[in-house]
Amino acid sequence: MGRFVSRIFSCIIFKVISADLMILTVKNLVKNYGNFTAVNGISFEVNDGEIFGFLGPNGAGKTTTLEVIETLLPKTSGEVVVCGHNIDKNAAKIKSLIGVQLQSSSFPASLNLIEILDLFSALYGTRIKPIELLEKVQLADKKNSKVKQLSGGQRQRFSLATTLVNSPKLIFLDEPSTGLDPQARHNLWALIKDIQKNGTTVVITTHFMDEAERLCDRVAIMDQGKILKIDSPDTLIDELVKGGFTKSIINKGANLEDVFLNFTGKHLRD
Amino acid sequence: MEKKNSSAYPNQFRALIALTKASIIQSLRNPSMLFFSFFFPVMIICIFGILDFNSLHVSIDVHSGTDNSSPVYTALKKISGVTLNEGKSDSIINDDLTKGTVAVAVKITSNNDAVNGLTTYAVNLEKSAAAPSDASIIETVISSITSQINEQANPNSIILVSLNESVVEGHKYKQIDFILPGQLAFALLTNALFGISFSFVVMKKDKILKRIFAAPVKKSTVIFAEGLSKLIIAIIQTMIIIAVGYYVFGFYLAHGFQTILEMMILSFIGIFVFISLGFLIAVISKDNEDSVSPIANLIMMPQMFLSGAYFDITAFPSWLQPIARLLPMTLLDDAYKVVAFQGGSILSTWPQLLGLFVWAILIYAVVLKMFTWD
Repeated sequence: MGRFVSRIFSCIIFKVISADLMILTVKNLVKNYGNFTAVNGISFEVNDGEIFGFLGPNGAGKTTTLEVIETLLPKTSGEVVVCGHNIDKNAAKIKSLIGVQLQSSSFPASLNLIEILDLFSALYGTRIKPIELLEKVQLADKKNSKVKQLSGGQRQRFSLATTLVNSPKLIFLDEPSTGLDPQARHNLWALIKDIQKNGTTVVITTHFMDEAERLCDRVAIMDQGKILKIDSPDTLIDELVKGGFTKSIINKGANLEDVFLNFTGKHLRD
Repeated sequence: MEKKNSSAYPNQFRALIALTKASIIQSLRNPSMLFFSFFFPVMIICIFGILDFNSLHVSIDVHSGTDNSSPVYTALKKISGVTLNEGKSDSIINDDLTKGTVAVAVKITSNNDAVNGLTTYAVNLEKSAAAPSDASIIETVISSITSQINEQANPNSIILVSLNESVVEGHKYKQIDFILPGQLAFALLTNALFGISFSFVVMKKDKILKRIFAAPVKKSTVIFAEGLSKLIIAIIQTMIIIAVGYYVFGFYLAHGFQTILEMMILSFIGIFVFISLGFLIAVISKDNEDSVSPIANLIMMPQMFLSGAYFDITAFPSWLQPIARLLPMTLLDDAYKVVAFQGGSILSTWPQLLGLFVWAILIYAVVLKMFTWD
């Protein structure tokens, strides 16, 4: 009996603490475009300090979900609370607390990297040293370049730098590694891990499973506007194997990417 | 609620300055923008200025029976560059006008009013349709002379000549006086037209605008910054073009520095109207980058060629002239001329300003109805 009470008690304590730990809460989120339902009643929570991944094929609703949370798209229904603020009531406050990397968005073509970072720091009302941010993403030597002169990997790293101008609590990265070579991907993952270490929560979308497996503490598998499953990659794999799943290809202890990186090295090419 | 929300935005003034600065830098680094908004108008001014450096050269046929003692005649005679051909027969004068070898023929007659003791003069102008540009210049010169004489005439005095001598003498009419206002209006038009339309369409297409709005910045701040950047560029354009015209080619400023200020105010009004055209292009092109340029040219070209900046409006068919005179660029061009050339005040340009405001109201109404952010 005492044991039962203490268990309930610890459960309540856990609930109270965990409520504080939630940096993002989404409840029954729906987003329609006309007759098309892009996001169909999803609910999830993101813990403070974790890297949370959205996995799904193209058109699953990942980007729409992110843009609603980022207050860039109006939702159809549901409730979204970001960093303790409701998106319906305090969009501007939320914007100033989060960092956003949009999928395939660009920057003013004739401004150099320093000028763009200065511009964004003014938009967020923060004082930063652009060169320090560029150093963080290994682009200090490109400070006078235009974005169009950067390689794909450099462009993604720069985009990442612009999400950090306001020292955000939470950043959203929408398919940051699409189109990058293996070296650039590994480098980007290391950067994202660094950002997490510095106390920033990361929400990332991807359709690369290896990326999610290496990077994410928890993932949500999404398809056709619904979340099918949320858990850590490890747990999800264990569950599948426990259910009697066997792979037709035998695990050799290495894969082709390991071979490729063994030959070409891990250093960045851009 | 609204108040609470707006306070969550960081200092929008700093955002405004940063966005304006970014927009100006982008414009000044854009080669085609630099060409049309600065280089091209200055080049045209230089060409016309060099071609006609000293003064204009026009000749006027004077009909027999003209009163040589009339103040208008005396004033015309004093203008360097104006040659008066006298002693030609009516048939030769008619031939000159038909061929366009002479742009204008005048007959000035005097009429003594015995009751008031006042002498009035009638100036009869015949313009050649074959030389409309020169004819229009002469017409402007003569109307300027007559209005000055009339303004200064003392009703009780019979002799008007001595009064207007000094007025006419210091004022040399130059080609630049006719060319510069049109080029300035053209420079402002291209600045706003291409600047606004391209920047909004590209910002939307490349999702730059979306990225900007991911930051806590108000939409009005972005719009305001775009307008402010075009305004600042317009100030630079006005100063450069007037400076080149004045210092290199002796552009006439009726009241010196005050005239520059008045022209600057007209530039402000002009750019405000032209910005609406820039937004109109962005709206009509439905944010398709490829259709911006053709639509912008469709709006710019008629104004460029019909405004009188390059060709004289009186040369156009009579049905086209009223349309040409009502185009925004023509109105601004005319207003500049009233202020700089005729020495009129800003208030005396009210017909042009009224026309410009009507354009602004109409176009902004369409833009507000059709503009979308994404």
